Amino acid sequence: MDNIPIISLLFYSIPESILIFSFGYVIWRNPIKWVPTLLSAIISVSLCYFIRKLPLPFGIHTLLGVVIIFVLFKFVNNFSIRKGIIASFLSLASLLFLENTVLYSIQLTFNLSLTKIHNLPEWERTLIGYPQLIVWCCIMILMNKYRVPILGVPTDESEN
Amino acid sequence: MNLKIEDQSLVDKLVFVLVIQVFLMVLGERVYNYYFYQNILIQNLFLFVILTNFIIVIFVVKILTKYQMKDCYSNKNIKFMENTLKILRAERHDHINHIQSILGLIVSGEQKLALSYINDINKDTNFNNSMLNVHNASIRILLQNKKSHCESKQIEFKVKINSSITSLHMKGSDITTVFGNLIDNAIDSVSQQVDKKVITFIIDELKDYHIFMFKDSGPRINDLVQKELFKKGFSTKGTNRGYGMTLILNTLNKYNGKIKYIDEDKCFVVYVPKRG
Repeated sequence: MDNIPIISLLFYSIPESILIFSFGYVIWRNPIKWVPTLLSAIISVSLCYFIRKLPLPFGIHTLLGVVIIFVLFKFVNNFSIRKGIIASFLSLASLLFLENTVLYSIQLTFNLSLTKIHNLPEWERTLIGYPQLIVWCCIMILMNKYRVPILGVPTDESEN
Repeated sequence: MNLKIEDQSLVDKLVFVLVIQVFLMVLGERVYNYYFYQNILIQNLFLFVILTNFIIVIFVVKILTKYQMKDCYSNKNIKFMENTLKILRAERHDHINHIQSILGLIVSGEQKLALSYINDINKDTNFNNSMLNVHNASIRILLQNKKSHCESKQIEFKVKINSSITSLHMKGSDITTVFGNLIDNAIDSVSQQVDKKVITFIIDELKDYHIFMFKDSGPRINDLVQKELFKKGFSTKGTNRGYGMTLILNTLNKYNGKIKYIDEDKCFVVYVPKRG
């Protein structure tokens, strides 16, 4: 159970959520539609805020988050089921990959565990996650600029 | 490596399994980190293995979908070749009859008629040759139908193909909505003319966009009409009309496309972003 401070919600969770949905567009080499992305980010963050308050073991909220993100990809961003599933899992897997590298490096450097991070003062807790978001943002910009998708293009013309 | 993917659904299943597997592995590592945070060699090795696996899975998924895409393109190419052969067969069938007709006209001394006959065939042949360069079946069929329609109204329908539009990703119904409506508007525009009636359709491309230009020999659209052109219900052709341009705009919005009226050239230009 995790009580996310409002500052973390506004200055970390929402940017992170925007990157999650933008990454879904980038891996499929679609131009990013900002209105559905922002709407999806706000809905996702709001739902995840309440899910995190539930007394669930660490990790279960991520699995629930995948479902929410898939539903938002499908119905708000008009992805097909196939694209939505792959985009949801790959976006979150990439985020976890970066947490396991960038955030883990910070943990090792400052001798912090995830429990200690959750108990840090609000602003420190918010800012500690920024390096991985910045790295992720740079990766997306490079992928977009050099048109390097993780995946191929849709084979079905009816997919968006 | 020559890999042929026969079953698209098998590739999809493989991709799903790999993506879900890598997600569960990185999540597992994160959960392990949360509950058992210790800076020991085994945990770091475990992390290294999982992260390497993540990178490998991304490459494998990319290769699988790349071969799936190549397979799809080769199927599309085969269909295109089959359609091309049909056009060529039809042309060859008529060709023999045309040769005999021209021979007959020349033998009977009707040289001028023979020349006019050859010019007519030449236009049809040029049109069919242009169609061979259009890789999109929906556009090809639409243009062939509109050409017949224009011929019945004694309108010259010219087509210039400067791009094969292989990466156009519009649905067939949307192609008919956008291009069919624009060509119909051009036909309406030139129908009232007394002098030469010409409609020109040009396909071209930029680095990131396909471009489609619709020119006609009709009058220029005046400034007032240009401002109201895309408004629902607005029409210069009477009441209970005026939905075509709105429909075109809404359809193009689905693909992040644009439409503009170029005053200097008296033409509509449609831009559709390329896919892939």
